[in-house]
Amino acid sequence: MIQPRAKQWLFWLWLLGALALLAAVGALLIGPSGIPLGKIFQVLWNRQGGIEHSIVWNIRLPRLLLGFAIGGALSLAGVILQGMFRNPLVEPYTLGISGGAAVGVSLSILLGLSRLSIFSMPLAGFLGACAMILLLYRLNAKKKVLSLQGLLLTGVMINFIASSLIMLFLALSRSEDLQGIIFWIMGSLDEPNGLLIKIALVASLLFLFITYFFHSDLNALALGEEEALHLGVPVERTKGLLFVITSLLIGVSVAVAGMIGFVGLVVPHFMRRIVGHDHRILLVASFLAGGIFLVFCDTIARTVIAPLELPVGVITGILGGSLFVWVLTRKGGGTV
Amino acid sequence: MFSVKGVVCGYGPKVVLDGIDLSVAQGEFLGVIGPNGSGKTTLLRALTRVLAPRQGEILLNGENIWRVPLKNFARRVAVVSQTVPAVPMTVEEFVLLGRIPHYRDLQFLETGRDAEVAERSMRMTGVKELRGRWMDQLSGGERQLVAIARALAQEPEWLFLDEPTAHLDIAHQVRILDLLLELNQSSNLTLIMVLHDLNLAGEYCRRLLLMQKGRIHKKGSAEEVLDRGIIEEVYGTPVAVGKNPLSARPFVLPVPAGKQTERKK
Repeated sequence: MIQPRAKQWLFWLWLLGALALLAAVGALLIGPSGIPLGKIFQVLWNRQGGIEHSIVWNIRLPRLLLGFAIGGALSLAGVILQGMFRNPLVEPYTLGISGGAAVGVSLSILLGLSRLSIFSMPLAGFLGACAMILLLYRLNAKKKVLSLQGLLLTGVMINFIASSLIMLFLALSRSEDLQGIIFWIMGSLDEPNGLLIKIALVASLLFLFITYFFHSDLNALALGEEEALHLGVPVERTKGLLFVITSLLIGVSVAVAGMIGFVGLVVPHFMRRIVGHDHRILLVASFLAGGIFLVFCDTIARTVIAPLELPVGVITGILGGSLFVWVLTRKGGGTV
Repeated sequence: MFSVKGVVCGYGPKVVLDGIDLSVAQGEFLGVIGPNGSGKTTLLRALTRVLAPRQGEILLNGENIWRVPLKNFARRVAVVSQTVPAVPMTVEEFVLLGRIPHYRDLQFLETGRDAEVAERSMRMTGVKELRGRWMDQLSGGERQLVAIARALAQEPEWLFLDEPTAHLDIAHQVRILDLLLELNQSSNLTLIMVLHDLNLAGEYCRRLLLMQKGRIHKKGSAEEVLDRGIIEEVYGTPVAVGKNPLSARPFVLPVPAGKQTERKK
């Protein structure tokens, strides 16, 4: 009945919390210069210290926090979009918002704006994403009704246009800019600016909190728009607000960390299978699991060919993709 | 009391409901019948606030339904749609969704009362044993019963159903309509139901509404509406009308084209 259900949810929360802690400790310990387990707490507690202190506080901890923020944001956006569209293939990068951000960033690199300030690239990305949100909304909201089917189709098309534009920019750009654009597109958690990390972290936690006001609306929308309306859900308002919320989540994470693929597609799927379809647990579980998954992948990405780094998107794609295929093709694993 | 006054409704440039006047009193068991495309489902959608009328108004106890707050409306009016979504959730979770209109602001978990009501509506519809089963693994008849259970969990005064017996065998048809009749009589739940099957409509509904081309062609008791002349005119096909020897209710049988001559003699 109800009590056991809440108990089960608490159990998942504890488990994911423990895994998050494990991933965090792992990410802090593991790296080109290993730090022994016993020393980590000492380093974290003391305000100053030697080289280990600065590695943990200046390099690994910010990266860890950004990993949780971005992984959580992408996965949360994925779970909301899949729920709202009732389509398991929708992910944060489907709607064309990331394409808008990518065009913004490549333009800023091409025009030399990125050299003006450390903020100009993320800002250009975020503005690109916002422009795309407005465009998508204008194209698909007619007479106060937001057409989800239209949103999906125009989003996919806009992504095609955006990637062609980026190819054009790549062809026009000089070699040093070329590298900048490609690195940004591959995505990375290597973000030197503390303020941007804080913005990403605060924004993703804030949006997680806000989405909890929609838990029953999301559950009702799983039945379809008309059924949700019969359950007293103001469908159009909810769709519009959720679209804006997810778009901002995607905009912030893409602007700060580039395009890290697969987190927003794979993690929500896994969480649906594990914790069930009720958004009351699914939202926070996806957020946590997305963070854990990205931090874990990032730890691998920066250690396998140390001192060089692999783009984290390579690991999320290979690991997430093969896990996904394995789960889908496993015996009895038919329904998603 | 639902009062419909001069309602014109449609999709895009197409007019589907063309001037509907109707009033339904509390406690009724009303069947809406008519040929395909006559506007039955659209009438249901207009009455349940899915489709806004272009002209005219629909009042629930004297208040325009579009002015009633949505949640409040959902606490009084429940709808069982034609197709029940085969979502990946358990029967119990599905029925509990019917409690959403009763959630208070910022309520996170179902209260004890929510669980009680869900339990009761599963018991009334006889789906309690299915509670742990997945919705996408149920048969059509079971799914229909679960959908009714969810609607009952809303504790409505008005229940709208769109062809609740479509695609079901006669045993399941009778089971569902018996259940609805009992709910109508024992708990004074008002039922407004679209039906394709004229015989089931004649057998169960206390009042029938026959629609044709977006207008109400005839309303009245089963005997009044299921008349050979009226049915042949509206459906445009020859029929034979008789009386069920056990229930004394009218039934309608189609007559194949080759056999019409026999009647003329």
